[in-house]
Amino acid sequence: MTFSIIDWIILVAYLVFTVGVGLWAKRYVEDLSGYMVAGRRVKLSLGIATFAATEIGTITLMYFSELGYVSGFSCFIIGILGLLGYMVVGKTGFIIEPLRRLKVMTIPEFYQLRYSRNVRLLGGIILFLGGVLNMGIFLKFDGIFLSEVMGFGSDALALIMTLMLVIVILYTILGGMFSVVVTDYMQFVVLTVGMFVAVIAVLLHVDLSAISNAVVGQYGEAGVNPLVNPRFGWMFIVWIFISNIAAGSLWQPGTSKALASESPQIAKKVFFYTSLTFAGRAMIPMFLGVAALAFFGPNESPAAAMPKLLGIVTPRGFLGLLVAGMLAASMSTYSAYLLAWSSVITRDVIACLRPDDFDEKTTIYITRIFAGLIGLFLLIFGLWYKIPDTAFQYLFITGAMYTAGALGCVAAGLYWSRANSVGAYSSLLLGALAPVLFLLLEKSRETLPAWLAVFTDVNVSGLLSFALAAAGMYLGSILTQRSCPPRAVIGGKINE
Amino acid sequence: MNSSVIIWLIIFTLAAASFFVIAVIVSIKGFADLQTLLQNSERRDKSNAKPEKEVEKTSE
Repeated sequence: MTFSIIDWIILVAYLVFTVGVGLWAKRYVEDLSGYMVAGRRVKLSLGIATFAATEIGTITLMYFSELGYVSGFSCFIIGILGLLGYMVVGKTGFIIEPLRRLKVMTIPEFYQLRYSRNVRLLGGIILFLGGVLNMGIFLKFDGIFLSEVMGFGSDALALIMTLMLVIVILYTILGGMFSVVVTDYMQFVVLTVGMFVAVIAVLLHVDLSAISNAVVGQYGEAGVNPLVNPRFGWMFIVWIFISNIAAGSLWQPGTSKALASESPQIAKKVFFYTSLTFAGRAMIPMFLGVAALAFFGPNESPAAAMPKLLGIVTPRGFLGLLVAGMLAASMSTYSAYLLAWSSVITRDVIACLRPDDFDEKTTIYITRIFAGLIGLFLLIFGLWYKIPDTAFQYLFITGAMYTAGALGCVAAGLYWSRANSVGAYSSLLLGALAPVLFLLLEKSRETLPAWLAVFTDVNVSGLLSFALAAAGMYLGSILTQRSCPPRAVIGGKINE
Repeated sequence: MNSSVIIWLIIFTLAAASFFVIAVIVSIKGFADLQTLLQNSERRDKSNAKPEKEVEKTSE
């Protein structure tokens, strides 16, 4: 066991403090907008902290370090694409600015304003399924991280992970976005310290020239050039760039932070300044993965290599700080995701199936129940699902299930007057098609005919989802302009 | 050291530096924002509670 008494003291003190603060913040929730978007009163620096904390979980560090281990420096291109994608959204206000102005709380709310209640229902179902599936592997990777860093067996880990999830569910259910924002800020500070400790510890133990030799020796040109690396190439670069713009503007857990901002201008600034951290968010864990390659050689488990390295090189005392930082990263991500997906299933699916909306108290009550149920699902799903190839691919393809269709619906809905509900249905369904085929067919790719096997290439499937969604929106709208005239949204109200 | 590796290491250094610098600034300024958010929320709670008390008084 690598964890000492002082590490335990730091970790337990941190967990107790987080629960206390999360529960204390509950007193500020006075109504639905307080619960869902913190009353839309979040200022710039706090917005950046909470957005960045949401986007960095232990899972983020794990999948990026796994990529660093299996592809060398060439995966660093993903950090640059993340920076550019979020910067475009922040600089132009693409989607987030008009959505904030319309004062919606979830993305599917916009579907009802611009298209119809049924489009909102379909969009809500796809968003919920894509989102929860995407989140399904988080616990598994957190488990791997903790077991390698702390030196535990898997039995104790299941207990720790369950405890952590219960803590997050507790304060998210009770305090909603207020608790999420307050704890996110705290967690951002702690996770930054944790990441800093990790980088310094690795730099002190692994020589840069050894890292260079390991990458070039193991992967050759593919280790430094993403265009010749078989995992990446042009198709991957285009897909990930579009994905970053779509995820930046439409991924509910992140976008909800823009919707919680004090004003549309602040929302833009939050995205712009947070984008400047996105290259580091990807490259820091990737570098740790590359360092693990140099330290252990190529025969280690790619997912376990980075945490194993940190468990060895981080001094006692600092290890507790590092684990607290990583737990902070996970908790901030879980809380934001739990709140986002439970809000969507309550407001955009269940409420849409009824003739009248729920009142505010009932909405908050049902949201809390679903936050608990999603947590339970995460525990069960995380134990049995086997991830295809790398976690990065799984996360982006499950994300594309929703973001591809949503990008077509929301971008066209905001910026193209001829977009109608037929186009929206086509965009949502076609956007989800290629990722769903990938998830269903990926495990039996050897037995498939060539025309179907193309969907098991994650890069093809990912890019195709955006192309099909765009084509669905365009053709669906153009061909049905007379039978289904588009309606406009002016100042948050429908103009038939 | 391979020249491509050196370029990636420079990019990594810039990315990591901007991450940590922004993190420090945001941590300091974010605390002030957090205080304002919570103070404003408390003020709203009090102003929401006031009219109710006034209504109670007039009904007495």
